[in-house]
Amino acid sequence: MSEHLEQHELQNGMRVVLHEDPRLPLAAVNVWYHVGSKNEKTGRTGLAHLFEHMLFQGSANVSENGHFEHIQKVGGVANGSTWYDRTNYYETLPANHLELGLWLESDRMGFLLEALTEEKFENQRSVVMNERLQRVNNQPYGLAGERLSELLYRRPNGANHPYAWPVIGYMDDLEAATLDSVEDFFRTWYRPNNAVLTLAGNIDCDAALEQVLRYFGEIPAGPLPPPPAVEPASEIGPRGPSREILEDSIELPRCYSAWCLDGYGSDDWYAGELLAMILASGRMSRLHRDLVYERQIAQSVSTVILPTEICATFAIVATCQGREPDPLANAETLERTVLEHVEAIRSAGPTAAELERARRSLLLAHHDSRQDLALCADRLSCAATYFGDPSRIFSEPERLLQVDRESIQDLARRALAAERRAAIIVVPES
Amino acid sequence: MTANEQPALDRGRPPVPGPSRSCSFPSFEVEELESGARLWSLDAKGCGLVTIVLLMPGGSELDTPGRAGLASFTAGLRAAGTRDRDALEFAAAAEDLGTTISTSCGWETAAIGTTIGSEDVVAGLELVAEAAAEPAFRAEEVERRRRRRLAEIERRRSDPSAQARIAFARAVYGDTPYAYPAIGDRRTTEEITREDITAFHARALAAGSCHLIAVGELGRGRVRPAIEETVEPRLRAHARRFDATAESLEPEPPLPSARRVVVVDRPGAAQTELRIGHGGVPRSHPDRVRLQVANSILGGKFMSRLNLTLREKHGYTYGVSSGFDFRRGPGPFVIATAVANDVAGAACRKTIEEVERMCAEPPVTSELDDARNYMVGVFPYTLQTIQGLSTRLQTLAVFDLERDEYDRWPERVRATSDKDVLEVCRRHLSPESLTIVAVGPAEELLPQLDGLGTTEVQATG
Repeated sequence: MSEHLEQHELQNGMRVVLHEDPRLPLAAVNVWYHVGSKNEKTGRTGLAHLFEHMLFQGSANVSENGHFEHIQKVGGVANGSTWYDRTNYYETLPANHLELGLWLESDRMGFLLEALTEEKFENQRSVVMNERLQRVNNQPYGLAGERLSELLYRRPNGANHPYAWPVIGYMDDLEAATLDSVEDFFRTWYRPNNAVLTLAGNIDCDAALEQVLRYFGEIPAGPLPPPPAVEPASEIGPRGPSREILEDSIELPRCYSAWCLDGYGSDDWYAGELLAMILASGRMSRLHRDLVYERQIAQSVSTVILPTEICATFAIVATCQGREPDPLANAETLERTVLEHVEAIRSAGPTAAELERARRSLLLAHHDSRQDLALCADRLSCAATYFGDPSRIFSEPERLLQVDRESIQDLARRALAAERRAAIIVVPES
Repeated sequence: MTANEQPALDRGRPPVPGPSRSCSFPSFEVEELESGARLWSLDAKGCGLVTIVLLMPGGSELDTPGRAGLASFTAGLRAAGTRDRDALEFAAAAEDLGTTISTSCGWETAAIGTTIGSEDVVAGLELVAEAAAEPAFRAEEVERRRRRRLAEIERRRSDPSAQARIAFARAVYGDTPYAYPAIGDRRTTEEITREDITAFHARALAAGSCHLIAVGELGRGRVRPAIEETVEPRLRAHARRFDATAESLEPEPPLPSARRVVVVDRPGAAQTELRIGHGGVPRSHPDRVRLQVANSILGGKFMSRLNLTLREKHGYTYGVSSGFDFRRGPGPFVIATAVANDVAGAACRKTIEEVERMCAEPPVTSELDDARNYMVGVFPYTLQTIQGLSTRLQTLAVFDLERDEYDRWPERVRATSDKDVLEVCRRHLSPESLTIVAVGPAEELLPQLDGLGTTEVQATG
C-alpha cells in the first residue's frame, strides 16, 4: 500500500495533508476543526454538535441541503461528526470530482453565516433533539454513560471538567440554544488556522495542493481562544460519592466502572489500549473467559478507552446474564468480580501470552483499518490535529509494541485505584 | 501552471469535473474442488491480510415454527469446540494469531469466517474447516449457548428498535419462516435439543453446496494447495448437495386487503419507533434493479423524498430510510424511523403520502438522474476492503448469479427510466396494504393513529 504522504501549511495557518493511494478511482476529503464539546460551557452544552448540523444547511453559494445534493448526484457520500475534541466533515467522491469537495468545504469554511436562517436553525434543533431521543433517552441504558462521565469528571469545587457533559448536549441546553450562539461559535472556531484538510486516494499531490490554495488560500485566519485549563489526568477522579444506582427500562442489570488516564497518544494511553484488550477482547480475555464463559454470570463484558485528547476515560461495562432472583445483588456480584480482576492486574500484571495475543490482535486491526480510504483520511487528520504529524498513523504499531507487561501493571497501579473509580449500576425499574 | 495563471475562481457555481475514470469489479477465479465445494478466490494485493469465508447451507429460512432459532443456534456453536479442541483451546488457537473465528447465520446460508495475516492463512483455513466439518456440539456448550440466547431474548424486550422489527415481521409474515426472529423465542430456545442441533448440522454439511471464498494477499498458487491440505480432507466425506431449499417460502406473500396498525405499548417511552411496509419480492425478481432505483428516490439516501420531508422539512426525526430486503424468498419492503411521540401520526401520514406519490406519478428527470448517478457512483466504495469484496462474492454464490453481475449492474441502473420507476412502484408498492408498527406509549399514539387502519395493541415481549 502506497505511503506517499505530504503535509503543508498555508499562509492562513490551515494545514493540508495529501496522501496518494491509487487503488480505486476515489478521493476522500476530510476536514477536522479542532473544536468539540470540550470547548462548550456548562449550560450551553450541545452547541458544537448542533453547529455541525448547520454546516449542512447551505452557505453563500450552496443552497439549503445543497451540500448533500451536490455530493450525492455525482455518486459521492458525505457526513460529519462531533466529538469531545474535534468536529469532522468528510466526503468520499469519484476522483474526478475532487474539486467539488474543495468547493463545498471552502464555501462553508469561509462563507457560511450569510446563509444561516432562524428557520433552518429551528428545523435542525428539532432534528438534533430527535437524535438525542433516539440515541440516549429511548435507548436501554442510554443515560448511564452520561451519568458515569458526570461522576468521573466532577471537580472537587463542584465545577465540571470539559469531558463531564455529553457531546450531544443536554435537552434543556438544546432548547435554550440560539442562532446568535451558533453564529458566535462559527466566528470563534471555524478558522483555517484551526483546521486540517486531508485529501487521500487517487489524487495528484501537486495538482491537489494548487486547487487547495485556490479554494482555501483567501479565507482569513482569526484569533483562537486558549484551550480550556485542565488538571493532569492523575488529579481527575470522583470526589465524594462516586457510585450510583440508576433505574431504567431494561431487563438485564449492568455495571459500569470508569477511571481517567492520560490522553490519546501518551504512553499510558497505549498501555491502556492493550490492557483493554487483555481484559475483555476475545473469548480468551480475562473478563470474558471468567464472567461469561466459566461462571456464566455475565451476558457480555467490554472495555473501552476513549481516544480523547486531554485525558481518556477507561471503562469496563459488564451486563448480567439474568435479573433473578435479585437484580441489584446480581449486578453487585458482577461488579465485585470485575474489580477482583482489576486488582489482579494491579498486583501481578498480565501474562506474556496475554500481552502477545493483544499485540497481534491490535496489529491485525491496524492493517485492516488501512484499507478504507475515508477512515485512513480521518486518521491522518487526527494525527495532524493532535500531534502535528500525520505520519504518526504509520508508526502507531511500533508504539503498541513498546508496551511491556511492566508498563501495563504500572498503569493499572497508578490509574485504576479504587478511590479513583466512578461507577454506575443499572437495574430494572421497580 | 501555477495558481496565479489560472482563471479567477468563480465560487458561484460548482467546478467542472475532470474526465471520469471507470471502475470494474476485479477479476476472480471460481473452481470446483473434489468435494464439490466451490472455491472463489480474488487476489487483492497490498493489505497483507486474507479474509476467508466458508458458506454452507443452513440459513434461518429453514427454521420451522416449533424450532424457530435452530439454524442460528447451530451456527453459533460451530466455533465453540471441535472434535480435537475444546471451546477454549479453539478460541486460543485463533486469538494467538490475533484473530477470531466468527460464525454467523443469514436467511439463506450459515457462514464461518476469519480475517488473518497472509502468513497465517493455512492455520486460518484449518480452523475454519474444523468448525465447519468437526464441531463437537458438547452438551455443556449447548447449555451455555442456550442461556446466553435466552438472556438475549430477554434483553430485546426493552430494546424499542428490536421490538419494532419483531412485531413488523410477525404482522407481515404470518407463520412463514420470515415471521420469526432468527434467534427464535423463549419457548423454542428452551425446547431445542442437542439432537436437533446435531441433526440440523449433519443435514447442512453438504460440501457440494458449500462455497469457500478467499480474498486478499493470496500469493500466486498458494491458496489451492493450502485448501487441499486443510479444507478438502474434511469436506470430501460430505461430498453431496444439500437436499432442499426452504420448503415454505412463498414467491410473494399475500398482501392484506386494508392497512393495519400495530401498536406495541411502551408506557413512558421517550420516542416512537416506526416500521411501515409490507412483503416485497425475492432477490431473483426481474424488477429488482428498477426497484432499487425507485427506492433510492423514496428513501434510499439522504436526499430521498422521505428524508427531505420527515427530517429536513418537518424535523420529525433524526433520519428515515426505506429498503427492500432481497432474500431468496420475498423479504420485506420497510420504511424505518424513530420520531417524537407527539408527531407519530403526522409522520405516518406523510410517509403514506410519499408511498402514494411514488405510485401516482413518475419521478422528475433530475431526481431520477441523481438517483442513478448516486447508485453507480458509490458502488466502488464497497470494493475498498477485502471484506467488502468478499461480501460481493458471497452474494454471487448465495444467489447463484452470473459472474458478470457487477459489471452489468451499472448499465441496468442507467437503463431504468422514469416510466420503469412508476411501473415497478405500481406493481410492488401497495399504500393500501401497508402494515404500520409503532412502538411507543399507546395512550399517546392511539388518538394520532386513528383512521389509519385496523388497530391492534400489543404488550412488549
